[in-house]
Amino acid sequence: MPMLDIKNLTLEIDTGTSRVKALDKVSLTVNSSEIRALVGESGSGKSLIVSAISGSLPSNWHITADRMSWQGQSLLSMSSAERREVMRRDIAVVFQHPISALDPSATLGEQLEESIPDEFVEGSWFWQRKQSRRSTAISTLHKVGIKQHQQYLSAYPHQISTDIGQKFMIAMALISQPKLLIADDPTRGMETTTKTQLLKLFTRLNQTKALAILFVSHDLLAIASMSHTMTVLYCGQTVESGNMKHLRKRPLHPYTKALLDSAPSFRNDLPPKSTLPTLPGTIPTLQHLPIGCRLGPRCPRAQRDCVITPVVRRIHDHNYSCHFPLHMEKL
Amino acid sequence: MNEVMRVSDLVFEHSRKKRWLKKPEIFRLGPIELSVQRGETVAIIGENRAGKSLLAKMLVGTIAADSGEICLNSQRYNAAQTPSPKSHHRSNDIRMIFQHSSEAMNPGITVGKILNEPLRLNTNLDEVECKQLIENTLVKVGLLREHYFFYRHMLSDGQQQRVALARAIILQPKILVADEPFAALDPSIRSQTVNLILQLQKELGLAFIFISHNLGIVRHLADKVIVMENGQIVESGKTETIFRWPQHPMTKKLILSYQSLVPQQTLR
Repeated sequence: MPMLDIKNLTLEIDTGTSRVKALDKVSLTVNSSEIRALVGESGSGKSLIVSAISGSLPSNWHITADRMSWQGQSLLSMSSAERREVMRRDIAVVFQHPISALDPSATLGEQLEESIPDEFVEGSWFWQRKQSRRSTAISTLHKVGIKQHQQYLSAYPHQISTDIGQKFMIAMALISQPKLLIADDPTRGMETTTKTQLLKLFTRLNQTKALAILFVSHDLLAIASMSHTMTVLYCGQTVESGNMKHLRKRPLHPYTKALLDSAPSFRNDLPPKSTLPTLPGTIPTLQHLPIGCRLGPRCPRAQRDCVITPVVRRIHDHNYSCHFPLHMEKL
Repeated sequence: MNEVMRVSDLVFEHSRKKRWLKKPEIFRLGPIELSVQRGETVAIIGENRAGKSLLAKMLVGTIAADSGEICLNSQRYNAAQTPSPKSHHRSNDIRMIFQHSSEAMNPGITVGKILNEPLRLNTNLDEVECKQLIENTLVKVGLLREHYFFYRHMLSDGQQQRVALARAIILQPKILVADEPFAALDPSIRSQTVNLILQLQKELGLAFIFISHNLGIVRHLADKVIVMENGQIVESGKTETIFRWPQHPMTKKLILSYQSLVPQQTLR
């Protein structure tokens, strides 16, 4: 049974004169205890989905969806108090820019202790509760790989480096023991060793505590090593989604193939210093989106039919939306 | 000889004066020995705070070293001296691409003016020649002549990266130093940039020194890898050698953590 189920989510942004469809009929499901990767380049609307799920939207953004539910409850028809309760207890979000997402006027220790739910605090007297909060905070910090907790608990956000800030955000998300963790680009700019450590932590939590993870990133190497399923996004349209293994082996959409080809680590047949296969052109801006399939102008297989938005087609668990998918000749 | 750059005994020291009850912070970089051949690609890898960016800045001369020597094209420079106006050759021969290429560009002037500035400061070309050269360079990095009149905010990430590259190669340098040129780029733009650099290296015979965390790209691009830890070069050698038989514990740590991410089927 899916925990988080989103069907045909459309997000429109008022730009004063017109409305821009930043997300166009995006479908996404996260089953319990699975790691789902959400892949896309910048401007594809990955972070918009994250903020749509967390409900932190400015007033000029409009959401419509056929279905957007959390464990059977509809998130859209919920009262804001209920929504807040879900966000506080069940879903935890790691936002993209850690330093700016933290409160600049409180120390990191205070912020971390504040996010511990009351049920997890032991003791009945205030000094006992304070001690218990402290020790929970410190043990969570050790879990995410911060060893010098003393130094960082009393620091302010501007005093720490970005990777420490990222780990702090992850600690704050994990401390309430959520059922779903949404991590928005948690490994950006991290060095390889720290990244591996973090991915191992995620995998371990997923296996031992059955934590479901929505891993939003464009780091394919990290994604391929840990996630079970993957959804690929391009310019606010879901391009392809399915099992990680199947997608890697036999991508149906040209964009997925281009994305996988762009990482030289995936190919050992590639001689060093050879040119990498690329898609021509760049990602279009929101104001100048092409009609129909938004990959159209950059797609090597584009034909006249591509000006019509392709419908989502389905083969077993593998969804794709393309008029002329790859590998179909063999079927 | 084919050697374009030789660095010997380059040392940089940073120490804060001892204060009451505070330990003095000491950071020491080097001594660093390095030699770069013509057309060669050197990658610098290591953890954060290993002094990689500092080394790159010292090579181009934006930060003066405390002692040591840099030879560029058999011309010696005392790295400890702050660059004098006479050392024009040096800024012509070695150029840098900064970490955040979009933030390293002036948002208030057009691309043409951005590219004109190094020409105005370093060459004696007149206006027509300048414009000609700028347009040729724009075409060379895969932009259009019209981009001369564009401002920074009108360009996409990939195009900004191309302008940064154009600014670096406009003086026909021998060596290009880049500080994490691929980190902020999206996968498809990143491979475009990699292709562009490969092509330019082939055409111009550039030597290319770059810092990266992405070991996949390092393996693809570099001829030689330098591993740094705490301001020291702990290992250096041919890319294949480093990736297959890492010797130093730091190198092993980096390579192993990279290989644990690479899916097993592709390793075979």
